[in-house]
Amino acid sequence: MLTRIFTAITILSASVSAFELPSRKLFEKYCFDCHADGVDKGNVDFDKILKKKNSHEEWGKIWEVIEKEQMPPVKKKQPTDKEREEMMIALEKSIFNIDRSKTYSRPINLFRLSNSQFSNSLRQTFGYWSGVENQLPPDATSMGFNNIASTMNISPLLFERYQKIAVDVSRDMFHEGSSNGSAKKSGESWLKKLKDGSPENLNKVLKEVTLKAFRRPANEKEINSLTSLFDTVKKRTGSNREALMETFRAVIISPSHIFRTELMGKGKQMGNLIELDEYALASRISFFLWNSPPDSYLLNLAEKKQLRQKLPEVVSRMIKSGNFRHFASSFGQQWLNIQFLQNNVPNRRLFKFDRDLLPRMKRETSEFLQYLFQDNRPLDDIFTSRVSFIDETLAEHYGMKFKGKKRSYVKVEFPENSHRMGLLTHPSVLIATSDPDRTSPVKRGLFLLESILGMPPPPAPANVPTIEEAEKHKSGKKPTFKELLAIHRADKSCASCHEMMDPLGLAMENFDASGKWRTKERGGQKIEIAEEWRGHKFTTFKDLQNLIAKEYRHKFIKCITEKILIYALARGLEFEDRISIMKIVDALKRSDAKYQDLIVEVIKSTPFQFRLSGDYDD
Amino acid sequence: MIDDKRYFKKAGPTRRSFLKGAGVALMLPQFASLAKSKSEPENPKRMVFLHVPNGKIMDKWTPKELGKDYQITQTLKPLESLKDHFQVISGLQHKNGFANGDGAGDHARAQGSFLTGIQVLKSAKRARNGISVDQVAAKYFGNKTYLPSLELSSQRGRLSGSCDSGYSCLYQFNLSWANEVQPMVPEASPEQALNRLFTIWDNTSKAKHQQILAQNEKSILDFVNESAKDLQRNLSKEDTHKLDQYFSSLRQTEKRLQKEKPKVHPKMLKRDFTKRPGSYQEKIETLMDIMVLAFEVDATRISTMIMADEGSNRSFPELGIKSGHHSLSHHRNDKNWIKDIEKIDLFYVQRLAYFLNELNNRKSNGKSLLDQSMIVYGSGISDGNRHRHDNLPVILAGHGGGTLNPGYHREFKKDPMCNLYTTMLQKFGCPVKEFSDSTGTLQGI
Repeated sequence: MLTRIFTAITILSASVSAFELPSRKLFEKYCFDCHADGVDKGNVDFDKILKKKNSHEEWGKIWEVIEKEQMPPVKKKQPTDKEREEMMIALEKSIFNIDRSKTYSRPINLFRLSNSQFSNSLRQTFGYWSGVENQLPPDATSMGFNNIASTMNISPLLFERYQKIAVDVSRDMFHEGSSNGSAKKSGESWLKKLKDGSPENLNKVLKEVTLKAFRRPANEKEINSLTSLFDTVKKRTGSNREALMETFRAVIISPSHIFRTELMGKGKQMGNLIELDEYALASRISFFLWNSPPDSYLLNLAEKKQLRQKLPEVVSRMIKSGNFRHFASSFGQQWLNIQFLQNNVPNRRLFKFDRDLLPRMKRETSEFLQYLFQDNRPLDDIFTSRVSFIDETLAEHYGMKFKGKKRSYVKVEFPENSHRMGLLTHPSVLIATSDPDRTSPVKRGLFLLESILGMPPPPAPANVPTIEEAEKHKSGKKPTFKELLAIHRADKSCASCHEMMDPLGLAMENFDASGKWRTKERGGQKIEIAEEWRGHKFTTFKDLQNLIAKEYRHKFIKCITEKILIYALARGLEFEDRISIMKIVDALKRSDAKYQDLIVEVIKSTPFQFRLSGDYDD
Repeated sequence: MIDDKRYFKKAGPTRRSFLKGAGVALMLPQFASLAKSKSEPENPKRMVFLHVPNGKIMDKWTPKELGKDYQITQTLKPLESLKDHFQVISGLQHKNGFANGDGAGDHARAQGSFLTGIQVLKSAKRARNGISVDQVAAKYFGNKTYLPSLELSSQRGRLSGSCDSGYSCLYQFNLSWANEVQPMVPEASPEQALNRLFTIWDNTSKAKHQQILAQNEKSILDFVNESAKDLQRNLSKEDTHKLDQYFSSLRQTEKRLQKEKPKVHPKMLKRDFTKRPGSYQEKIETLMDIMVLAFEVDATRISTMIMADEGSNRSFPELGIKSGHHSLSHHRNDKNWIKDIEKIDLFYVQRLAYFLNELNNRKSNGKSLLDQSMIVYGSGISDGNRHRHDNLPVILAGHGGGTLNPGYHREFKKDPMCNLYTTMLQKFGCPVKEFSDSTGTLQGI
């Protein structure tokens, strides 16, 4: 978040003190007990920092700790949201010279398609349905997502793979003997358009294929080079078919296909921001909601410059489309960190569990998320809905009757008295936050803080003792898991974070490591939930879910907004994005806000609609 | 997260400054004249780096005695019959593996710096490292072979969406770096590596098809090269990096096109590489077979392999170990956990023994591949429990074409790992004076 603070910001002369400000009293009230006047817990001493000449780094950390509510420790008196805001603004203004009324986004204008996007593009543009992700070296993930532009590299190996795939695709499209039905059909239809290969027909074909593959009209130069490529190969082989095949091969590995660019057009200017032209916008929206390139409908609107005008309509159409499943599976699974669930098999000696359940549980969650958006449900539904989607195998595992077709997922509604309610009781999530042998209240608490509430604790210090380690301190009777955690928490260096995490995770203890409801621990000890977290008490997980849905609703909205923005923009969030985030959150505060509103607000936001102009000093 | 300005302080030289000799002091960067040298030796040298994660139980690794007559240790036991072909090198460190103010994230730093010696940028948003030692060698000798260098990994991707403590996942996905921003992404599929590297002899129809394709290939590459140049305008720095990667990948392809893909007779294939390896052991050894084969037909001379990613939490049911490697490595002196780690350490050394034996069994002109190779096997962490980055566990195997003196246990006092790398580069024939944070060379190795 803070990258920019430490880099490009014009740094104020170091002599300016932060505490020539009215908010000094807030810092005194909430920080100085432990961090001033001779006390320097965790090596943080405001007196020292104030005296230091260049202390931007320290102030940046303090800003971050306030923003993420990592301090003051939960047991101490907490500032109100407004007070936190005031402290942050004070630091921004006096230390970092940041004016919140100015917002802008980062200047990355070149986005390498992720492996799945590349695969989807081949399907949509060339009728090549065999997924190619497995042939590509895996994309690196950053901040939980595998589409982050700054870490999407091209290596010689990847480029070689693109070449090899381009050979496969063009051969399957144009070879007489091709057995790939859909690719062949697509190839034949291109050949039909090419007819005799006259310059006019060739021109038409090239314009059409580049429009789809480059997601914008090709310029004259591009068309000319492709034409001469076609002519060269035709001279060499005497065949239109061969020539078109090789031309398409070039299109597939062309940088304009592999990279999404946003440099076209000269849109409206706002400070150093430039409004995206409609083709670039169509791509952003399409990769966001479909993880695929824009279809001809979107490209058509962009051509007529009607996309912005028809935004709500377009978005609702796109969410209804079958392609929207890519959003649910790509964004959804990465957000919840269940994309690698197949590696989390619960220990089958301890749980009745079949490995085949895991992909189904993942699918259940994707289907549920898809439903929230497609049926345009209210935001709170994610915690309180009784709806889920199961197939025959899951129904059997859950002990439910199944009335659908084989291999289909049908919508079911759990009864009022069921323990299943909302996303947080999905076995996918519960298993992903467990170890194979036991639940992990810490992982679960951390998950809630990081992925649902947007209040991540700082990373664990190195070399902390594990839970099992704590067991040794107890003699005699075998302690319950909860007691073990309490021992662990008693360690001072662990306390401040674990007081945040553990009560949340412990509230989920009624779900075992395979996601099933239980009332006793494996050792037979009864599970009793009596947790307190930030002054709230709860005795069931449902209490906690209701608490989140009501009192922490704004936290959740902010959290999911940030995650969606990271995914939609394919970049980490910057300090300046905060304003836009706040605007989105404000727009969604009303109790009837729905999931499509969230999407529309994100797409309408400044960072989504604009790009940064010119080079950027970093 | 709080990061970027440090890059200039700590991360490596820029790609451009590399050529000016800021990071790797080149005496004479005459790549072209080197390439054309006609006195090509019959038996070229090879350079290999094998990475293992999470450190070792050091007292079961390090021999007690120095010199030639050291007693082989428990973990090194599988190498006993090869004692004359490797040296144990103790006492080296990667000081840029330590936090140095960057906080948690020792695993990301350890693998990130293992072959570069660079304090990698702490940021989830972008990665900055420096050129790795193998890629320096590839700059000088890569143009002599079909592939300048071969990167392999036994792991495809990771188990989780986020990586070590605020670092980009790139550091734990990759071992080899072409420059500060471009990792050399490794190949994890033996079958795909095989197809990438070799033409299998009796596959004539395919070979013929390749030929037809190659004719058109140049026209296609000319087109994309042109398009990329057009794209270059108006790019920000970050974008330029991306396009540079595209260009350099393209150039490598163009160079490769001028070379014949090495031919391999089916009889030379040790196993059916199209079959999915049944076990982890088999997977590693299959990849090693590919590497050996690549050396045999001189498809490449420089190779790196990630035997497992740093921080790997693989469990070893085949060894009766249910917990994950990384979890166990934080053993806090628990005897049972230490025993498990010892077994895992041994497992990886057994794979090294397999590899060295394979190299030793391939002979031409009276020299084995092992005679001609210099192989580093090691980890960027010594004590996994406390995340130490000094006194690293390192084996230098092979005779380096007669330039190395194997058979000893040697100890150096906190010399940088990069002193070893500089020495290796020089013995390999690269005219470099220093590499990354090196302070000199290692004498006597």
